[in-house]
Amino acid sequence: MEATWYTDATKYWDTVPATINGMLGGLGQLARPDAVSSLRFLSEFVNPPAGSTSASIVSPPTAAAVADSSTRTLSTQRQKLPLPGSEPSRVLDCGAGIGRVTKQVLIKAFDHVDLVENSAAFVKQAREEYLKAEIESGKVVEVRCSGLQKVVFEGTTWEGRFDVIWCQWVLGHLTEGKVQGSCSLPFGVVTNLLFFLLLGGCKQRTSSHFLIGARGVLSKAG
Amino acid sequence: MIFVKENNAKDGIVIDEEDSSMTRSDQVWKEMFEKSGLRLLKEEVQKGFPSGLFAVKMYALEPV
Repeated sequence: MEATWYTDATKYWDTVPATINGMLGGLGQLARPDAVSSLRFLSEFVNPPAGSTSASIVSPPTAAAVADSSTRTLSTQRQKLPLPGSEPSRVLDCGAGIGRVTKQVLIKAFDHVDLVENSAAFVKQAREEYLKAEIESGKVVEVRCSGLQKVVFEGTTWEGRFDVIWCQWVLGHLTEGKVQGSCSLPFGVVTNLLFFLLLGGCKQRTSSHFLIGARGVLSKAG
Repeated sequence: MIFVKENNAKDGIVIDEEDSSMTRSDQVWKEMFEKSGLRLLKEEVQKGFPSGLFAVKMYALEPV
């Protein structure tokens, strides 16, 4: 893969307007079906915070869906997040753009949202306009400007912090060779490594546990 | 947990040089999750998008 892979992506996104339409490649009309489906999908695993408008958006399960529940996956027996007694729920929106998914989906399902986004222009728009009210109210905690391939959890306020890490339309930009700067690895391995790094941001797991896992991937990659 | 919502290629990997992205097939995604030590709890195809776009899929994952 070319050395300019990530800089080319940055250049591409620099040409994209910091708007909902821009975030969706000119298909702003997809925002609503996207958000409704995501909220419904999340609702099986996450209890929304009190007062959330999520329930009014996600229509109640139909009789057919209830009847079908016996054939569902393990998820139906799972205890929903946040776990009882835990601190307020928190999610990280990866490749967040101006914060469309944060505002239309994640803020309705979690107490707090953090964002990581590569484009300085999108981060600026999120901070100063699109998410301004949510930042002021404390619902949105941090909007960090970083490529996902360079995101650091260990030793930062994000280590072990999140109930959920949400990656939407961003992992396609991740490929070989540039995670943490120096390694040149076969295709696929680095995105695997990315998942190990992301798990360093998840609650209930220590990042050192996953760094051991990540080192295992690296050593296998030679 | 990790949630992934990404485009799906019909087969293999489709590379787009314009925006530096690679679109993986469902099978490639699942191989990646497995190699990463992630268990797939639920998957769902996004409905209501126009035809002609890549299929979009949601995956709910947790560490094994």
